[in-house]
Amino acid sequence: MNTINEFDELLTAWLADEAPATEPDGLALVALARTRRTRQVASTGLLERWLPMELTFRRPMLAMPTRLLAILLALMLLLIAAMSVPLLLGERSLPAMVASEWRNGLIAYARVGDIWVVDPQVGEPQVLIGGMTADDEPGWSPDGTRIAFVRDVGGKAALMVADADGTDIREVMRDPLPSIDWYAWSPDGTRLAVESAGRVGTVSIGDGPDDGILETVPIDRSLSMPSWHPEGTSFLVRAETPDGTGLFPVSFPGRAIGRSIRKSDTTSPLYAGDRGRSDLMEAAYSPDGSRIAYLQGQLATDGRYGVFGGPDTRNHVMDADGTNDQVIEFSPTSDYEDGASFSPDGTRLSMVIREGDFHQIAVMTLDGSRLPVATEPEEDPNAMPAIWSPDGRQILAVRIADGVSYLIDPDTGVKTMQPWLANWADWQRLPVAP
Amino acid sequence: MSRVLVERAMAGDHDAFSELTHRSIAKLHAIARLILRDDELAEDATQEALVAAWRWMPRLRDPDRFEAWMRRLLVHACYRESSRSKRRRHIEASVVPTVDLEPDPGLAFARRDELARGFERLSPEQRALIVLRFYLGLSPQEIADVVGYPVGTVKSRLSRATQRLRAALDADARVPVIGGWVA
Repeated sequence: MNTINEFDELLTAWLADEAPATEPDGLALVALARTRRTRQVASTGLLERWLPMELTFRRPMLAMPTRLLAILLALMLLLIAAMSVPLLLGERSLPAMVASEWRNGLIAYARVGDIWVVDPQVGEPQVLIGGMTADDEPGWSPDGTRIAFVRDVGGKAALMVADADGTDIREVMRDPLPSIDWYAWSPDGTRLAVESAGRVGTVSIGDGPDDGILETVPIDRSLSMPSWHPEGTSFLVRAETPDGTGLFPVSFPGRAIGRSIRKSDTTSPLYAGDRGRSDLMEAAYSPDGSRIAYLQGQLATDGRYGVFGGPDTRNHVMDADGTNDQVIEFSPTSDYEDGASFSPDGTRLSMVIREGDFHQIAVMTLDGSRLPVATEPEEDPNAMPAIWSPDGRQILAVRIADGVSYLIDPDTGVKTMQPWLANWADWQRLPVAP
Repeated sequence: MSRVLVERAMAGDHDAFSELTHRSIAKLHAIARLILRDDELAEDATQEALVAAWRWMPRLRDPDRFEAWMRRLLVHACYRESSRSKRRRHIEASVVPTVDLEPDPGLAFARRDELARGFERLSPEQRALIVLRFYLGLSPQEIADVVGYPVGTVKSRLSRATQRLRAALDADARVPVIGGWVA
């Protein structure tokens, strides 16, 4: 490329050629059919007229659908009733949540090719890993001393590890992969489980002769994020194998596939949904390894199967051996619910509740000892699964549309908007000082 | 874009919004297609942006800024579609056109193919900046209005994205190709 002008001209011409000249047939009709069914928000002379849109682009309570408002009102009344029970009956009180053995460190997130960190108590983000590289998807090691991330290397994906202060950046694998769809630190921090283009394996971190080599598991296809058992002796994958499709434990070391914990119903329309075979997804062990949360579509009351990511999708929790499966549902009227995440003490589950173009973060107590709480609905149907703070006292939620971040009190559902934008965030876990 | 139409749509006139949609949808879809590099995602993002626009039109602060506001909604819808599809593992690998190894009469075709591959490697946010600057011809200030970054940040990010693209082209150009026409 000889000159900047030549490059600019080529780029401009190429974009003009690449851009479709007309919209797809029927796109305008479909969009307008949707807008015809959509109610406009009320015009207002309030803050929205004057404040930047990112601060006001959320739904006022009074504009909520009646059904949602009624649910929230009913929940508030139930909460008040529950709080008054101990007063009326004297002795019984809500169980105290187990204190976490971890304290909160920094929140790491990706933004436009850099890895940033922020202490939410201070609120001043700083670049941890910057420069000309394109870095994404940070994840702290279990002890909080290192951070992994994915780097674009000439169109391929390299898994990188750095010290917690951003120094000593190393490539974990000897060769980059076509893509890295998911990775997960082993509990002892010595290796990572990696999913890439339907294959899953583990790679050990270090400079030894056996380190840096991705040892893949002999499964035909995996579509799930591998989740380590807390003892580090196995990890869980959603896989398609000759013996069936479902959730399988993979032992470590050895990479032997165990018996399926839960099999997919491959005869269901859900299994062959229009967005792919995705009936069982997002399986993850509880912090003590005794339970598994996962996502599954359900047979709707009118006989339809839900499609993953579509209506009737619900979170489930079962024992680690596949027994005692139960649906964890916040609201029977929500469109779909997903994004389950165990609290650090394993007693609660945060979930993303979606209804229309809005989402809420809900917190459910698994033994039913506390009433569910939920945040105010947020304008944006999509949200990343919420992230619990290591001490279990806060939840970080990120609005996908613009990266706006909230810290949520899991006991009340009250959320506080943060002055920083986060994508692909992870919260550093540090041991409580003795 | 007619201010009168925008004001009528702001007042709840769906016919006016329909007219605005028909006038703008081809361009909006083209922008989304360039950023997302996927037909289905681009259609979804365009729809989502239009629905959001209709819903929030009564609170548009300045009718003359409708176009910039619409682009902002669209770019955010593209980010959302991109994040969602990535999270769901349903982004399919882009099919890079196979390079014809017959000697090409001009360099332009090869350059364009390299450009396509380099563009694919950029993040959706970087592609959005490139599209706003080089496809729509917006100034850094106008881009800042759309993406919500400060102007300085837009300039540095844009510079970085174009440098990455140039680097990708230069790297490809240094790789000898069978047939020897790119050496």
